[in-house]
Amino acid sequence: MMKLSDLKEQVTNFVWLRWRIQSNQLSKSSAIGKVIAALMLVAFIMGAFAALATGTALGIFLPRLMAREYYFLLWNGLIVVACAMWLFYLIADLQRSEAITFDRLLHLPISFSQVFAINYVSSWLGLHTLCLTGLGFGFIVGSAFSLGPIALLFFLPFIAFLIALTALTYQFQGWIATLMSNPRKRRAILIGLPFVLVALIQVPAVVISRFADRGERQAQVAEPELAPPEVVIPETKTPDLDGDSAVTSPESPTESKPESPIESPIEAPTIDSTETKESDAIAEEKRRAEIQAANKAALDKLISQVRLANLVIPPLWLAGSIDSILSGNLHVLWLTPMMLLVAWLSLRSNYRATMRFYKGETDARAATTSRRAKKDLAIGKAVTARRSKWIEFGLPGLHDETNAVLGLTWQSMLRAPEVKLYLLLPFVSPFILFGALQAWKIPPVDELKAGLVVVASAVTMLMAAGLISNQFGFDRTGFRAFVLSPIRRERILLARNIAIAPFLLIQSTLLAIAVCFYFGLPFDKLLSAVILTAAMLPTFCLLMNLMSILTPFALAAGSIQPQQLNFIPLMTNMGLSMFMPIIVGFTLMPLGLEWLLDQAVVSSRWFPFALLLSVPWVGFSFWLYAIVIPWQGKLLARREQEILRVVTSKAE
Amino acid sequence: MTKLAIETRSLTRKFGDRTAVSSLDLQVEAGTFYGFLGPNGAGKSTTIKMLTGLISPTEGTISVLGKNMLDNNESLEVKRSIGVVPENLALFDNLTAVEYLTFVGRVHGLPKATIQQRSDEMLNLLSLEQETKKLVLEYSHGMRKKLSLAAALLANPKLLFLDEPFEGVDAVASVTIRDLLSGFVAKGSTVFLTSHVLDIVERLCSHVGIIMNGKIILQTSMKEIQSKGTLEKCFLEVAGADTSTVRKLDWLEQAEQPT
Repeated sequence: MMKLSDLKEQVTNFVWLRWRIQSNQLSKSSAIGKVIAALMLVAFIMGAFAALATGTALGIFLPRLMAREYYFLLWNGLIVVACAMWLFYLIADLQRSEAITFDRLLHLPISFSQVFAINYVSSWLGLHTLCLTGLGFGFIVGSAFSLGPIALLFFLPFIAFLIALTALTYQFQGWIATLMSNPRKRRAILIGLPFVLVALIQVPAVVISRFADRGERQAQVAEPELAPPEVVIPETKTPDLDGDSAVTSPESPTESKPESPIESPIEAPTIDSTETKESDAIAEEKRRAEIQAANKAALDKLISQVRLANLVIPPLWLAGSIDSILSGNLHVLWLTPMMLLVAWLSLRSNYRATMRFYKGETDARAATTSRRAKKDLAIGKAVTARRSKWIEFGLPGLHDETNAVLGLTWQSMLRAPEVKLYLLLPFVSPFILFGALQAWKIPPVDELKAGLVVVASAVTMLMAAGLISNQFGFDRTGFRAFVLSPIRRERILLARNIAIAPFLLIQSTLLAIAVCFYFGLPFDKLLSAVILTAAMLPTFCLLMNLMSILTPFALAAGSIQPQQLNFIPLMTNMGLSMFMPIIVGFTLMPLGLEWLLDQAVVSSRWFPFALLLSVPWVGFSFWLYAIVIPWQGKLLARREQEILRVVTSKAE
Repeated sequence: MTKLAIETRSLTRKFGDRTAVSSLDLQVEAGTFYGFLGPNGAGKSTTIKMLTGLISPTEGTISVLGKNMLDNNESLEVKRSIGVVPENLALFDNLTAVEYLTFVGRVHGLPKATIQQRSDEMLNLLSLEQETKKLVLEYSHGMRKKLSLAAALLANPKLLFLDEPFEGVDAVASVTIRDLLSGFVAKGSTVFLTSHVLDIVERLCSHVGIIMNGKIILQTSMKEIQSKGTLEKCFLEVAGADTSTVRKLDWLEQAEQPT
């Protein structure tokens, strides 16, 4: 059995280890990265203290603004914030390259259970936990001032909540670590899980907006029901003393507003009687009472829904416990022990799973020998490996070197999750675009609409820019094979551009066609927009090639996270990306010229000038590409050693 | 006159203030098995990187197979005739071994059938035939080394650069590689190899160069070294290590373990 002093020593040791790893990660990064990281660290530490102070202040003042029976709603809000913070922490922690894993410790004189316990306890000392603890403790202490000493009992469920949350997080991290011991799964998790977590973070916002929408809808439904009875306008028009007219607006019957003589050239009738005023006052009072009743009913409904949620949704059990303490409904006090039970079950299950994994009782690495190879080996025959279609693929008319790189690129793209992510990203653009189009009133000019189609295509292409503008960064150590190879460098660039072109063309053309239909553009405009989209591609690729050559970034294995963000390459990258609007502007010229012609010669409306001009525009664009690509090849040859140094700097 | 496979003049490489390789004059005759030795951080890998075009020198000239490696066009011609196993390898994580070899073969302009035949033979020879479904990222270090060697040999080059080829490779594969390389040199090709395993170097190499602190301190034939003793003795002499002065750690020799 471990002595308490030994345990203390080990915990201190682990805390020091975690701190040292994090501090080394900061000091190894670039100058700008160090500054940003240091600022974040200071902000985080200050945040932990600020959380305590903020929690106390909120605890003192917020309960005073509402009835005691609604106090638990504040805790529901706090839990949502806490869970969102926790998800952000998980996203950040997944990308952490240096975790304290068991296999780095088990050769030391420390037992498995000790490592497990110490690792769990030291996970409490993370800044995210400190912030959350500070906020919660502060809120409870503050609440004690406004609600009385009974609030101090909230510490019990809150601590149970923290234990459950950290235990579940620890189990989750253990599960992910087990999965990630398989390199293929590791990459998929590193890419996929942050997206799932980001989606989860959206849940509170969706729930809140849904409640808000429901509230608005209820108000809208209540409005016509509560409308006062129509006022019967007497046929005789009675001018008032000033000669103006009093108008009863149908939208707001109780309010009258003066109108200018221009707006009301005919004198409106006036309703001037004590009877009408009295009936207005009664109607108003009735309306107010009904609104209050509707609001009360809605609030009661919401409260009952939240109470139900506090019973059935485990993260909200904390709010349920606090509600039960405050309202004296002791029958729901079981929620606190339930949280502790969840924590215990989670830790026990995690401990067993971790021990099974490290004892080798579960093998996360699946057997990868093909059945055919096993069969060949069984009969003592030399294995003939399965050939891949993609790697042997070749386009007619291209040099074999170009085809070799093309096949390699396609094969790699189909395998790497981070690349697939970038290739799928442009499919998000229609949702953003159509949302924006609905909110924006477009002037009825066909050339402008067609121009917007081209801009939309450019945005689609730009979504994949993270991949294409750092194409050698994604090769990582593989780029060394290019440097060692006898391939002419412009062929590498050409192959890379051809590899990506179908994805970009299909995505941007489909979007262009969809937007054209949305706008109801004539066929010639649709055709010219699609052709101009194709015209944009070669120049876009040239720009991306230039960025890849001049400003490569190292990427962690299986990740899209840049490893080093040095100031000058970052600024150069941003500067080069400014050329994209120029490319778009250049592409839009046929449409602009058609519009100018239309302005100058009215009868030219029927003439598809943009369509006719867009065809040579494509030709010009490809000609430009053919001229520039050999020069870019030479530039790549000159810069390849520097690119290699950058893209392999962190991998090794 | 003997034809030189590699020749450098005043080859220097600086990293900031630190000089990794200083005025290196190297001469490797064609058809030799050249062992390039030196302690850790002596400049072996930096030299091999400069010779293969992975980094450029700060000063000096490099001639490989009679061509100037510092000229972009000539270096491409050289790369068609050499095979390289670099220090940190040059593999693509997302390819299988067969796919990588197919890519390398295509880059060297080999016919499809030749690539298929050679890659199957190489994989069988290096015991990688069972791992056909694995991606390179799932390979162990030794397997990566073997694949890299297979790729370097695939195009049957005239000159082979090998940076620590035996590091992390199992004993069986090690013997296979040794036999393979001996046969390769016997037909007239050249091997330039760095290794810390002096036994292997002594058994394989016909010529040896020793580099220390970025400077070449010995370039001679193995016969000459063996006429005076063993390679290890020679290496320890020129590298300056004196085993008699190694300080003893008294506490390590005590019977009781520290508490």
